[in-house]
Amino acid sequence: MTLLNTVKAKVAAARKALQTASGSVADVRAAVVRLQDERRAVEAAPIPQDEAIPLVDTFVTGALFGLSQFSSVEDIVASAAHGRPIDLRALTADQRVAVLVAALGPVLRVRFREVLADHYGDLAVGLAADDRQARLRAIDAELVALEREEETLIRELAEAGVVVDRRGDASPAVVLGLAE
Amino acid sequence: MGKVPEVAIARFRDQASALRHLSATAGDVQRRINDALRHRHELAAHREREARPRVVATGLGGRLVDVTNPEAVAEIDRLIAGADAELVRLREELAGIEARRNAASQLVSRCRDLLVERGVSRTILEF
Repeated sequence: MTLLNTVKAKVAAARKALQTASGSVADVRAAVVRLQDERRAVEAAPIPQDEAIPLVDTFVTGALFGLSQFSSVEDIVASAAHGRPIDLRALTADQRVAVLVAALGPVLRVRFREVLADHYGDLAVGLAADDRQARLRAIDAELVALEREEETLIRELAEAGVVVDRRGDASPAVVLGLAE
Repeated sequence: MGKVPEVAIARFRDQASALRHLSATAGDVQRRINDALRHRHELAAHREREARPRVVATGLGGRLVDVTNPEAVAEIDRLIAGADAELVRLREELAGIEARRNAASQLVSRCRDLLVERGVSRTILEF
């Protein structure tokens, strides 16, 4: 083999290696995008209905508690207990709210749950809270591993004279070497 | 500077340097676009002059003759088409560089925030 052929073979090998490395960066980035998409999907998915019910109940209870602070229904019915008629016109605005809360509270709880059940309908429900947190942690760990791999490839290419731009949303800690 | 290693600062400076290089490149391309636009306007003005029907008085009778030069106009049209194609190419080039510059700027900004968060002085990072 002539010297020229040897040089050509080496150049071709180097070019192929660079193409492989560049392709690897693209592969890693595609994997990063897939994981980022999955992370967004996991976060955005509705929680199971049985996990949403306590949240609704808490809201209703909180709202009713807030309203019931105005006055107590006990104060109102105490009049009847002492043989005095309850005069609606004599009730203050706060006392009227208290009456409504007492009367509608249980109905509101049932109604909110019904609306919640309707809302879920055919909704594609996501992971339960514990599973969701576990999956997000796993995705984050995979993302850091992939970003490290990407950064290593970019640095290797730079040493070979090939400049590959970093992503704008690349991890600063990985780029700066602070993620170890 | 706390626990941040020097290599992290050096890497940040590499990123900032790449960003400055991209900004300078974008500036160069923008200047070339401005030049190309100026050239395009000159060609358009030249064409307008060449295409405008002109009349000259000949002879004692004062006969008027149109001396418009269609070949010259056609040649200018070819030059204008070339200038337009060059402008399209330059604008595409600038858009590509701007996209890269924006990504680099975003990354540099986030790297700076991280370093500052870890106790590195902004003054050191501005250099």
